[in-house]
Amino acid sequence: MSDILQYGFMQRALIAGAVIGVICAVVGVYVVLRGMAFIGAGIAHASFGGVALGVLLGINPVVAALVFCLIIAWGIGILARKGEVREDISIGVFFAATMALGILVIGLTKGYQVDLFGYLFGSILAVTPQDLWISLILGAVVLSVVGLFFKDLLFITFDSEMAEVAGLPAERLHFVLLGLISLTVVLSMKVVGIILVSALIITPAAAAYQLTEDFRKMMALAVLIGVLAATLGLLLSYWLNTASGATIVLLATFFFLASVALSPRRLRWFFKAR
Amino acid sequence: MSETMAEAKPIIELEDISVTYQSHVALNNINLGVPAGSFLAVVGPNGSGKTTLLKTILGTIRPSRGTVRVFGRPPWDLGEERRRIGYVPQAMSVDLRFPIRAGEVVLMGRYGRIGLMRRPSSTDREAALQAMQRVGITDLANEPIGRLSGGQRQRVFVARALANDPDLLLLDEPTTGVDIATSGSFYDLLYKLHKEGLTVVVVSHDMGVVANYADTVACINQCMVVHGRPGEVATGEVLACMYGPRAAFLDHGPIPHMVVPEHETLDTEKDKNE
Ligand SMILES: Nc1ncnc2c1ncn2[C@@H]1O[C@H](COP(=O)(O)OP(=O)(O)OP(=O)(O)O)[C@@H](O)[C@H]1O
Ligand SMILES: [Mg+2]
Repeated sequence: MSDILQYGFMQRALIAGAVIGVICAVVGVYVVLRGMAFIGAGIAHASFGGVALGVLLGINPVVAALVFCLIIAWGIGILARKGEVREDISIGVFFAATMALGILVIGLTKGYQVDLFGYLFGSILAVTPQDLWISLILGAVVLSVVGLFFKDLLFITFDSEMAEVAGLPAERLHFVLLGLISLTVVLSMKVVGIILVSALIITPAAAAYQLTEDFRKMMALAVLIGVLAATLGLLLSYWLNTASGATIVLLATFFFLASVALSPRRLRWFFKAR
Repeated sequence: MSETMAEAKPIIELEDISVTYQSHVALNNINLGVPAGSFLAVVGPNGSGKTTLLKTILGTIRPSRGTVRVFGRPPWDLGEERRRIGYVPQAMSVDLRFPIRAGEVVLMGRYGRIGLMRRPSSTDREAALQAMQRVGITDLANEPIGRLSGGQRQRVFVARALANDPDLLLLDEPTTGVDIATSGSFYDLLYKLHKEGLTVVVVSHDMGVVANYADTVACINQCMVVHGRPGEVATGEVLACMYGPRAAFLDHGPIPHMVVPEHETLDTEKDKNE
């Protein structure tokens, strides 16, 4: 155990993993409860187009992905707001379009030897000190925004219509949430990979949802599950020499299945049925 | 405020209101004045524009024609006075498996007044507690909303509306899916609040409510069909408005019976007013 912690890349990966576990879980609670799973996946895939464009234009791919994700996320939000295009439809369109753009751009930058595979599937080796700093800063931004707007985000998540009636800017808060999802995707990209990041957002929160009927407890449990899945997943992927993102997500899935089995709601129903 | 003052200045004034969704006309030429301290029942068949009417009064929908005034001002322009309107939306607008406790839902009634980013104070908690006392649900504060019965849940949503200490309470079919006894005690509670000075506007499909609790009834079906005191407007006309003109009424004995074409099943309501 102590031997692997001597490696700088492993220390960075574990710290990044813990940060990712926390952030994905916190944001995931809103995504799960507001039924935004599909838009989470859509934003994640959009980041691929951003990474590829960043490589082509010589911009830091993480920064490029962040800008790209925000544009796509808010663009989808604006289209949906005017009632012009239903949200799931524009997500479906941009989902594929941004992936296609990424693939096209990679074709143009063939000479370049950048590990785009690492962005797609995640890699422990990929976390540079700069990436770690970006993750820490973006993570701090996400947590501060959630902390500041805690009651307001809870209100729009529970009952958006009443929040609006009460005079809260429900729509702008929805855009804040879309921004938070974008930040979360981008800060998790390097370790978990674009393909799997939406699973790490959804799964810990979905597992916690099975275990409690209290919002704050759900968030705390989601964070616990997210951090466990991310850090244990990284260690497992090192020992087993497997892809880090896939290992983390499968471990989270295991926690989810366990919590479904142990769900007090389900157990109550089960014993009532006897 | 004296009775004559209240009569002189209605707190809701709708003049020649028309509301259209895209090209569909939901409300056409509605005129309605609601004096302070009254108990108005709004009836009409499904899709007749009852919810639209409430939302117009709330200011979340703007009419395409006509003027709306609530407390003397357009409802979307009420500012601080917005809190004087309490709203209990039509059921099913919230996810009943949402991990949240009744007490927190009631406290949400204060969130708009507290404002973005600020936390509830002890005054807010006190107001929420008092609202729960008024509707008799203090013992349910820690219950997750998913575990409440339909009647208890409706009281929670009324308490949420009352937490702001409103002068006007709008309720949209508050007892749909609630059994007759629970529904009765719910309307007894509304009547008590009305006697305490609250102006009540309730959308209902329940003829008993119109007869026993309301002092004014408005039947709408895009246009205003009948508007007046329950004892004065023709019962047949109200019933025809509620159930459609093809319903036939058999007036024998103290309980009016009706025969409805096709396979609709309806509860006949006791009419204590004869
Ligand atoms: N957002 C909307 N967009 C388009 N049409 C709408 C919208 N909301 C309501 N409508 C239409 O307007 C009409 C009135 O709807 P409304 O919800 O006010 O009826 P209602 O009387 O409350 O019906 P119910 O008894 O079923 O609750 C209906 O024909 C409905 O289909
Ligand atoms: Mg309605």
